[in-house]
Amino acid sequence: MRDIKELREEILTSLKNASSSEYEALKIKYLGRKGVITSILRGLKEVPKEERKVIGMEANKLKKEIEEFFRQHKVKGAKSYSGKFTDYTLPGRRIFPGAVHPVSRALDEIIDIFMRLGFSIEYGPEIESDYYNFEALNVPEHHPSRDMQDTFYIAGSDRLLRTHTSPVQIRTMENRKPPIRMIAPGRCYRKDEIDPSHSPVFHQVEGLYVDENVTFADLKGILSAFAREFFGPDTKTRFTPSFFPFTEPSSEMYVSCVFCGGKGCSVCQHTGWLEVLGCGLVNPKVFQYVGYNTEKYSGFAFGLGVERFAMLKYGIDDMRLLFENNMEFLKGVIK
Amino acid sequence: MRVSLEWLNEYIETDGLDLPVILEECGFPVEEIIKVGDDNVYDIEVTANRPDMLSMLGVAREIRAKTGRKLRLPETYEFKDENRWRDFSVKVENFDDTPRYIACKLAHVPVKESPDWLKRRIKSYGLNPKNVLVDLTNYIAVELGQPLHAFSESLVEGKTINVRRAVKGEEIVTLLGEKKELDNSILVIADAEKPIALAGIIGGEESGVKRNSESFIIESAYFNPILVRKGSKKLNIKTDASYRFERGGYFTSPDFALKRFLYLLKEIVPEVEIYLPIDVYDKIPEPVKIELDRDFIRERLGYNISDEEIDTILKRFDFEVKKDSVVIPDYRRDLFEPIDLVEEVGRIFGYSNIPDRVRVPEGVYARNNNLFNMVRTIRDTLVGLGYYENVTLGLVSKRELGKIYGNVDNFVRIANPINVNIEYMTPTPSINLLKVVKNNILKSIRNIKIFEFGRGFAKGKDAFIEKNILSVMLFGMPDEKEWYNSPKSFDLFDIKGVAEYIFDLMHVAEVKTDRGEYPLYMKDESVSYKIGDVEIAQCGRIRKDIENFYEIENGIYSLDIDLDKLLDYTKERSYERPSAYPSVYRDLALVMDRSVLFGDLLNVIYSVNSLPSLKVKLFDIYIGKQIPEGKKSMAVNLEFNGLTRTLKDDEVEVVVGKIVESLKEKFGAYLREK
Repeated sequence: MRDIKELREEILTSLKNASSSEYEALKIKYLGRKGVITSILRGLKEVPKEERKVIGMEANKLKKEIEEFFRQHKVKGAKSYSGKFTDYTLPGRRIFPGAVHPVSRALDEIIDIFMRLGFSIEYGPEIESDYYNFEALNVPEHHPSRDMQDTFYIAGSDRLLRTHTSPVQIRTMENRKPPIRMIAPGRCYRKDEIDPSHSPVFHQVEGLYVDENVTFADLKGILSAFAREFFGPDTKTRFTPSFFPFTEPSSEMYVSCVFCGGKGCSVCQHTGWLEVLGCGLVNPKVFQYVGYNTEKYSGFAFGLGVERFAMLKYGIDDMRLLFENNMEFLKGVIK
Repeated sequence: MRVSLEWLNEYIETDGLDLPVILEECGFPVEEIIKVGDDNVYDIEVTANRPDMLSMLGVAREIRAKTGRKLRLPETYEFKDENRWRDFSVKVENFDDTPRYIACKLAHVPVKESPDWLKRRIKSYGLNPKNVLVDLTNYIAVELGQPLHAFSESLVEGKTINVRRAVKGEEIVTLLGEKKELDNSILVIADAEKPIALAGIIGGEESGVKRNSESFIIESAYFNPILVRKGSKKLNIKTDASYRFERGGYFTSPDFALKRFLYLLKEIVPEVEIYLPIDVYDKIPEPVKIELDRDFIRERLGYNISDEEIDTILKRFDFEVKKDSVVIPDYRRDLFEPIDLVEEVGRIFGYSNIPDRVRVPEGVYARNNNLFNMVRTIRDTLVGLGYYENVTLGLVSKRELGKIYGNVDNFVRIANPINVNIEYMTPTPSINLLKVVKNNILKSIRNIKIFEFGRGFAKGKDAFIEKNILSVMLFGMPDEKEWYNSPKSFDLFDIKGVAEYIFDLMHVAEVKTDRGEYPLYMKDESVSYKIGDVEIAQCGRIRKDIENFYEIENGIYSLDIDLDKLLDYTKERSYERPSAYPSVYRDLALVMDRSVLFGDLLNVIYSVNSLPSLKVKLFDIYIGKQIPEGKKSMAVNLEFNGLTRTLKDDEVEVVVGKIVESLKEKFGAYLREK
């Protein structure tokens, strides 16, 4: 049995010399469940009866002294110490997140922007009729504009795989009266070989806005706002004339190159601009097909390729990567 | 369309113009600039509505409209006292097929090389110079957009040309030496005997300009574009001429082009003898007249362009602008309606000069779309649980479908696929996910948890079936080995877990488990989820022979959920005050034959219960030494609640007793002794 007096000296000295950050550890060392004092008191039953009383008294006195010390020298949060060794650098016990596909991620952003602008989501079939995919969109049979979209046909039927989500425009207008603000996201099919910038299957978002007094200024305003929301607030847009049978006037929207900011680089072929979507005022002939009053209503429509938007936004240079679904790729990288 | 700057300058002064920018602002972006000697050749993209832009003159006209610079029209030949072309007739069978046909006889035409300027220009378009006659016809096609056809007079039997439909059984050998069988849908140029050319597409074998100084016939015509397009497609012949004709000719073109041709020919070959042409047409069409509503133009563009500005732009197109109408020259074959004028004014005014307007108008708001919301919720949840979203092509091969389903008759086939690997519309995204699993295993990834929202296609009775399907696929282990875990390979109950998780997530109740019979899965590990009689999902273990077919390791599990049905059965949320009374719990360890299904056991327990609320949890299954051979022990925890009152012990005992009795009766089950 150690001399309590000696122990007392030792403890009081170490307490005196200790910095406050050490208090917690010392308190555990002396008063803890396996602490020095505790074990003396616990060991009393092995001490001869005659000594037991004295040692017990001394030990209890010392305990009170130490407790008093800690009362005076407040130990903050002492109870948060469990007393066992914890390697806090071990990785946490966890679920590792999976990944949203980049096409889906881009689509999310596109959809969210248009929903904030008041556009509803509409869906339609992928196996379509010639009427919805072409005719009602003012693409007559035997017109060279059909060559713009090389089409897959369904065997043993007069159906085809939609070449754009524009048929959803027609289906929506057939069922609803203006005002209409809608987008139609979905899969489309064109007879293109698979290469870094083409795929026979791709995703499109078609948009339509019909109301009284919709003008080309509305088209420019909404689509430029969309471009800024998607590519960033400094994005500039440019509209050039184009041709689509279902719109007139028709236009292509360009955005300032997202890689070089418009200075010119290999991606934008040193023009500073990237062509990103086709758009235009709805051709009155399309309104005639759905029975809208062409005097009263006007509108604009647009179509964009989701893969292209995803590639531009996330810096992906080969469309084939999007359809391979390599999990390492899908995880993405932090740049 | 390749546009030589040197050539273009003949019609309009382009000095000081940034031509690529001007052309793009008109809607014809320059795709490439090719240097040919001192000359710049612009390859411009021409949209299908503007066949006039497939000519040098058309391009010059467009630049004039944009810039206001002066246009110089090419000089043409004037007929004076030419000889008549006697003893020859030209017949047009149908003026809808052939609105105009001009034939002109030339004599004493030497077959000689073209002068340098002509050769240079022909080359700038990408053609090889041949001889004056051929080069000049090509020149006119590029300059004015009108294809001409020259052939030897001696080729024509019976001193007559008939422009008519072919008769079934007729055939022709083309200039390229291909024999083509013809029918009534093909328009031909014929002599008294036989077809000698395919109208607007290509000449016959004999029609090449070969011999010197003989008499030639120059054909300058306007054919029905649809007919040319159909013929070209049907016979699978595409030529520069058919490309131009199928985009549309116009009435004054054959005459103008012929006179231009003759002018240049006479310049190069002064000795040539020209006969008066035979010009066949029904009637001269009225020019297109469009109502000019300047307010309408301003309204559609959304900008206040003045009347004067509108009129100035339209006049620069050589349109005849009147007070309330515009007369369109016939070379502009794309303008018919007031909206067409909006585009012309807008293009030339410049879309950049129209201000942006952003407004969220009255009466419009984004409506809710339940399918979209559901898909996004499930997707984000699965991603949170460590699953990877996939996007595949959704197309599969006949071989695959044959392997999995035995018969491909029910599936949707593409009539004109790119290749046989993507010939069919897939009945489920799972098929393509199998290949994704394989590719990831090849990259040494062995914790594969993937899913795709796609569609499944099949032939229905009256229409094609197109279902929204969520496919989930598992292979390997749920997680990589970490310091805190010891992952086990996936089995059927992992994929079942995914399905049941999604049902809970979407608040779908009363889904029953049934044995499945889906061809993708092994028979004894195939599960069907039903609500009533309606199947909403299937899951199971992929058949080994299918895994072997794809050369993938065994042990893949997949799940298909019919999202449209899931949505139908998704219940609105509602909430109840939880019971304020304590539950009474009883554990039962029951021994029974191994073949007894837990689902059956559960049904009996619920059907016997007569207390207000009962929840059953299976917390242990034991097979081993302590119970007889062929038996298993299933331990269940029963939680009873009175909902509106406290249950008495003895009423619970009565029910538990009944349950044990019924289980004994139905399954021979007995309580396991402690």
